[in-house]
Amino acid sequence: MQKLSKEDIAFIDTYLKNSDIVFSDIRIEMVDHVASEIESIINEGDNRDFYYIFKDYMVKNKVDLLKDNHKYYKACDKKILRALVKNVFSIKAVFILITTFLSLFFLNKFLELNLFFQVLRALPFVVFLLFAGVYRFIGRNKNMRFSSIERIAIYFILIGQIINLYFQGLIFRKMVLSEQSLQITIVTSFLIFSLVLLMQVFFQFKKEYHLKYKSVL
Amino acid sequence: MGNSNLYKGSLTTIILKLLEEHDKMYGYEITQKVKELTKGELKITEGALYPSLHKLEADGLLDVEVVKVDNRLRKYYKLTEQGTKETVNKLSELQDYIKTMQALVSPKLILE
Repeated sequence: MQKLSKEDIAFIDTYLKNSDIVFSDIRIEMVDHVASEIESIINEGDNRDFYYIFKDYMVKNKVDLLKDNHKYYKACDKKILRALVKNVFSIKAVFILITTFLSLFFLNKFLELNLFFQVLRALPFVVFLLFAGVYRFIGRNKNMRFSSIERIAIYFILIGQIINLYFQGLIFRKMVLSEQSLQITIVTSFLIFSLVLLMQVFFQFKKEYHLKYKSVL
Repeated sequence: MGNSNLYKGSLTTIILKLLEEHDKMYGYEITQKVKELTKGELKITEGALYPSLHKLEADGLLDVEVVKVDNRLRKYYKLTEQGTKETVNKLSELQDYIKTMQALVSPKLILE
């Protein structure tokens, strides 16, 4: 059985990478599929050079291969949502939410009201920046980009936008003016909780990828 | 192949059944096994197979293992505990479906 060389495999990998299949977990099996198919053609007696067989294969199958890439994003987003829902209904999540709320609630007793509102306004941004930093530095692997880990950034950005809109918007100002400290505490607790939850899912995915790809990482 | 649309709804069951019989399989191996078992009647395309595999993985029915083979990485799929249970359900559903279709298409066969 003739097998493709390292250079041939690298050629397929680069070609698919340049065709917008950026995530390693998707590209790995596409490279293997294309390579297996080409090896099969060679072993059936095709004597042409690798590049000619590859070119013919791509002309026939490229559309089908790339279609898979787009469908994968849907499966990936579904996986993230499923993990988030699973975590929301865990005892750990309830504990985090209650602890966050109680910490802010008692902080209200010790701080002067204006200072308390300023702290509540700053806190979600600080948590967001902290998590964004952690995500940036340990989320990305040098050689491999993993879909679920990178797609989760969309959810981080979404919550970041909600935090921004809420604290910079009219609703927050009106609540501050009418001194609705309990309501603001509840909203802030939920926003911080959402960030913690996302971070938790992020670490779960990171661990999962490490387990699955331990032979190559 | 006859009409590929007729097989579409059964692709998940086909994958689960194959993985139930083999400890672990990779994508290309699945396409070849199906081709071999159906004597070339059913050819699963990459565009249909991989999204199904990814969906099954996202649903927690399949587990993944990546190994270095022949100068490249290979992603093997195997059934999870949940996947093994789901295979039984899916096969039973498919058998019921086949019986129903048989009753509609050739009722005489059922009566006999």
